[in-house]
Amino acid sequence: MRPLSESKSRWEETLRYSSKPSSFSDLQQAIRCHPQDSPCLTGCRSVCWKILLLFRDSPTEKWAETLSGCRNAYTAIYEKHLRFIKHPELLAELPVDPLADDPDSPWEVVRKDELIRSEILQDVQRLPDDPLYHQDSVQVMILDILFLYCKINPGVGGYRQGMHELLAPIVHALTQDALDRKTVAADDEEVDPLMLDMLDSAYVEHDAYTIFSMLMARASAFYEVGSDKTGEQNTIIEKSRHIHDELLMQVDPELASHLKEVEILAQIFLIRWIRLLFGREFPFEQLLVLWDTIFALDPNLDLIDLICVAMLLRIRWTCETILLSFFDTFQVKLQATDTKGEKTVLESDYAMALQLLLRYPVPPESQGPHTFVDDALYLRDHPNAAGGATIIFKHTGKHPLSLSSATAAPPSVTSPGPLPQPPASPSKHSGFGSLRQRTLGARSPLSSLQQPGGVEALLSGAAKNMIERGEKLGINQAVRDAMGEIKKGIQEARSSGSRTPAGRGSGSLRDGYQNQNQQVYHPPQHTVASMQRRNRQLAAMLDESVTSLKQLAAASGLGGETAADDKEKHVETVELAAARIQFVKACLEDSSLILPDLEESAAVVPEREPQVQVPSSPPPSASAPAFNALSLSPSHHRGSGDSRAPTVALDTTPVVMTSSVVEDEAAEGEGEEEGEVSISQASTITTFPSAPPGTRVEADDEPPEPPTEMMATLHNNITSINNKPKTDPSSSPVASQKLDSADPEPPSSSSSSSSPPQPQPQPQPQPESQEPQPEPQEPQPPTRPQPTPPHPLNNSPILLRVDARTRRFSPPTAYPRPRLLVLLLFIAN
Amino acid sequence: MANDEYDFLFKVVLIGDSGVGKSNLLSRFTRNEFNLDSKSTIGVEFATRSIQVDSKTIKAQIWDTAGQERYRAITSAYYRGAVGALLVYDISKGVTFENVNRWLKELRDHADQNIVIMLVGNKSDLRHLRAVPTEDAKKFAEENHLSFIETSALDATNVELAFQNILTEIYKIVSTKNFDNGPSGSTEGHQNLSGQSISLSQTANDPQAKSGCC
Repeated sequence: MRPLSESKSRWEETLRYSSKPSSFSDLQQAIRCHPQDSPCLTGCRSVCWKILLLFRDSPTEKWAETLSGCRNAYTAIYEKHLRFIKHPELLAELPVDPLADDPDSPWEVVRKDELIRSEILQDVQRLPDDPLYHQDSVQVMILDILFLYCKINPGVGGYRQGMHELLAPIVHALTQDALDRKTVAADDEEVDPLMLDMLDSAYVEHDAYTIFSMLMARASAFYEVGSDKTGEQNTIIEKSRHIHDELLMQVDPELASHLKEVEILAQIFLIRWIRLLFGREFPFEQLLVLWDTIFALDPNLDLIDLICVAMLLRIRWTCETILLSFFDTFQVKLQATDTKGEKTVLESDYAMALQLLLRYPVPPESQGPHTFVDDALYLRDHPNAAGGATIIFKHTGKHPLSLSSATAAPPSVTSPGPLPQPPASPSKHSGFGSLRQRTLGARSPLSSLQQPGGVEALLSGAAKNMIERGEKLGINQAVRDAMGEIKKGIQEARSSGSRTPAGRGSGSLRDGYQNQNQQVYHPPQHTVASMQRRNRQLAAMLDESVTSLKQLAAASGLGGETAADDKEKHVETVELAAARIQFVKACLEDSSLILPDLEESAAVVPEREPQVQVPSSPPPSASAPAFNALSLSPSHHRGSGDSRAPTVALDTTPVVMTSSVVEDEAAEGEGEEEGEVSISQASTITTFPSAPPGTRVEADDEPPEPPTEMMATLHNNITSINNKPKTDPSSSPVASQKLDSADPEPPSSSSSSSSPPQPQPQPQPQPESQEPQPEPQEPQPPTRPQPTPPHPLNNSPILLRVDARTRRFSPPTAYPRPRLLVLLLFIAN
Repeated sequence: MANDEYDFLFKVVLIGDSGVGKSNLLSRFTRNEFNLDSKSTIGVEFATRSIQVDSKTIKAQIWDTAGQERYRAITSAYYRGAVGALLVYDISKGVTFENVNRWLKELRDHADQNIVIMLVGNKSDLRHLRAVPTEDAKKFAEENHLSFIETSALDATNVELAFQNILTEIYKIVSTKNFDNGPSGSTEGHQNLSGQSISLSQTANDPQAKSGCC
């Protein structure tokens, strides 16, 4: 129980919004506008809920009266239905034969009631983990309330599993706020009698029953079951059908169709979403805020359907990725199989997508579940594909239709015409049928590299490789950090296409929508061509990383007796690869950065490439490539001046960074990134969802703000790599060998620079957007990474400098020993 | 996962009264987890795990639902495509065993007629509270051509075995059927890379294959 002083201040806070001169609508408004800072949180949530569900706009003076009526009613039914259960001895005093065969005999009634109670108790004992729910007194309270509710409302059909989890948060809120009259009286302080009355701990049970009954007045419909005999559909099934077939179909026909294609019945997940009012889908604190918002804006629970739709829209890309990418993975196999085979593929989609829907990703704090109510309100006013597109865009920065349109758009076809706006009734939602045709088309090995999707896939392959390698070498954490950055970078690059400040965050939906419209650009053909060339160059760079890693794998596989010095080389190679990938990441993030000519880099790179030798026969001098002279500090040689391959550049000197960049890094590193990451963790596949083919391409006439001092550093990561305790040398070759043998075959696609094996893309399918097919009706520029917002280098670990005028990377002059910049040197020359 | 290829995909449902431990059987088998205070299932839960039978990879897609008897809103979706059912009761609660008959009726009404059913007496760790003698259950299972096993999700006794048995049983039926080579058998028997889902609709009902795995 709270201290009296806190209760007082909370009570005043609550009244500030809800009693004269304020009004009921002020409370609603306060919750709507500041859901995370509303009187429900700063004041007394239980009082707010009472107002929202019970008192509504009745004046404060009436509250006590209303409440007292409800409390008396509860006392009466309690006395009526629980008398014998609470006092079995009274039963024995009755002049009734306990064995009389009379269904109305009190004995018989009690026996039946005890059965109901044991059924309820079974669930009450399985309430969520909050310690409050597991106090005996609270469990009895919840049991009694549920039991009485069922007795009073026989039409509901008795207790139904799930009701207990609607009641529990109510009891929680009331208990939090409760005040013990005796304690208050002992305090001898002046207290508002109304406060004492409203928060009286003696009436928590009564009030919980009242609020629960108010809630169930609407929610009980979710628990209805149709009678089998009449074949009458029950409400929840009908509701689910309505949500999927009508509402979702209206606002996101693409997703609705895909869910249908894989035969996901919405009722499977919607039953829990709806019956528990989303109680299991979100963390408890977030749930309470969601309930605040629902009670404030939608006490009749009419918006629930649209809240479900909004939830689906928020994860629609992940859903789509699962559904589409699975199809892509299996499509080759499908060519050889019959319809039965297809059926199987769909079953796989089914499992994955359903897992996602049954374990809804935790929304980030800034976009807590209460925001679904806003979305639902918007969808109510805009019940069409445009409305759905707006919501999708608002939260993901991507446009739903881009999925199909850009997939179909060939990179070479450009058109100055504007993209079709989200049609009111888009006929062009591609089911699997059309996708099938598209994806079954001949796949050019090159095409996957020309598209950002291809680059991303390669990156993902490289990233995965690196992580695996890192595990073997005991540098997993550091490398994983770096990889996390890369992944984040990819996600940013992918999604930044149409993301604008207004489109995210607090900007109004309309703003977001307008911005989106403004962002439809159609770069001229040469831009497309240069983008392709750029992608090829980036791919070539990745190629080198992969080669190094392959060599490393071979090295650790062969060198059974290798010792610590080889591990240093491993580290070096991994770092180099990481640096290279970081560079590619930066380039993907900011497409305005100029790469050196492909020919130049292709010619130069091999010479500067560190030659990782097979450890079993290392000619010491050969393993010191040219760049080492630049990049290595003698003081960091582990070996005492011998000639073995030195470690890459683990400079402990703090890297010179502009403070603003550092701050931005810190800010960006937290914040909303978490949300994306957590969503992507829902499934491994989601790490690289279909590249939004609709990623808007900024026209060249509106270049991004030139990052005059784009800087970040690999420093920390590398330092941590270096400080990591070395793994047991004997274990690493074995492990790596195992890894090698497990290495999958190189993919069929090969890069434009033909020689070395490509990194294995993730086993997950490539985003289908890699394979644009001509579709003249809806021409769209090829996708490319979006120029990043001003400070894109959130924790980007390698130090990069960009010349503001030339837009070229250059080694930072302030950097004393540019050891970390091996990569940059050869690229920036 | 895209990369976990399998030869067969079997959908298996868990049914039985509320509180008999269906969800914990599922979590024990798929994640090797047990939670004494697991929340009651609302609607449907769902998990998968692959096992090897005869060097074939069998992916089990296991469905778990709320046990409360009188409100099953999702019956048809739940049973659709299921080739196996674990009918679970609690050995310490006689009433859950008495209700097995009702569950069998439900299976007959809603599931494929050839669905493989295994009777599972769960909570075998509660020896001191046993209310359903093993013999009774075994006898019941034999009479109804069900497999039977007692398990404990809490101490993991026989959980693996129960799923292994039912999946093997299904697999045997399916592969026998492929030898029989009905018109649909030829297609389904074709082992494509992405595996196959199985319908038992034309399977010969072989009582022997269904009885007495214990």
